[in-house]
Amino acid sequence: MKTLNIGRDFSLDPAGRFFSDEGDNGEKFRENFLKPAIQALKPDEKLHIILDDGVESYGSSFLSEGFAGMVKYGYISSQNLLEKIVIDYSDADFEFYKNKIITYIKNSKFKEEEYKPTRSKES
Amino acid sequence: MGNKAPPLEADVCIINSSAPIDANVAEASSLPVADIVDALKQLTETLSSSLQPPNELTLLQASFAVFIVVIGASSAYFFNYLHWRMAEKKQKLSGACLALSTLTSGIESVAVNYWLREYNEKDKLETQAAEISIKTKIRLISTYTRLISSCLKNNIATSEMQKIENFQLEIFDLATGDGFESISKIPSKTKAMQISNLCLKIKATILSLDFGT
Repeated sequence: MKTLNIGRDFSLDPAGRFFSDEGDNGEKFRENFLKPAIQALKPDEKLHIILDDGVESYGSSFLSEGFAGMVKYGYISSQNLLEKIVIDYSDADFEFYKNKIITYIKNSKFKEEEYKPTRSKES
Repeated sequence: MGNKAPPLEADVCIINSSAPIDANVAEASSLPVADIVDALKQLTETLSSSLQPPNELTLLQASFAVFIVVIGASSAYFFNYLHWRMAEKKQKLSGACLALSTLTSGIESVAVNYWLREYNEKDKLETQAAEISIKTKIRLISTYTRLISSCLKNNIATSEMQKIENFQLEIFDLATGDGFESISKIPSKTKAMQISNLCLKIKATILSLDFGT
């Protein structure tokens, strides 16, 4: 099982939706971290995502863009994505964010939109 | 010595205190010793039997009495414990509801103000402070919702609890969705109105919670 620790690997302050918003936004997380990590998984392997290691909270804009965007832009189906990720936390407050992520993934439509980067992926 | 005195009854064998002592002594000395001993024996038996309880306690009766005392004391302790547990729970619930209500007022004020304003580079710090405040308050709402939920478990207030849980989900999507934390945020009076309505409704629900249940 591979691990993606949002606080350590990505940012302690994940915020915003698009690259154009600057900072550590949802689009950056999806394109530069989540998508490569999911694509690098072996067939039966799972990605262990840790939500609360240093991160204080999330906004809906970040979570929906970062996670549900994977389905919306056709990278993976919602069912496959939910099968491949294991969302974990140690602080009980983060159960709420976990449930929201699952809801966003379930509610998003596969390939609903074509992805057009709002800025260079390297930014 | 031929006229033997009749046997004395216990209550008769009392020295006449009003008679001279010599007369009493003379009378007593005139009685045979055996009669006096019999009379004293009878008196002792009468007195001792009158001092004893009417029925002696059996072991079973004594055990039952002890059992009743233990049950009584245990019940008193148990009901006292239950009373304090309920009082403590009620106090915890009341505190959590008050905190949730205060948080709701706080998030309403900050989020309405945030969604009515356009993104402005000059107000960047103020905007960031509002974004932090909204996210922190939503996380705390989650904490207090969990606390209230644990206090109301197995109670009849489940519909109110459901409303509080739904509020948390809705306010999160409304206040931190769309262009939240984005420079392309579009101000929305409708969104501000929805946030305000949602907050006012949940405050009414919190007030309606019956702490006695």
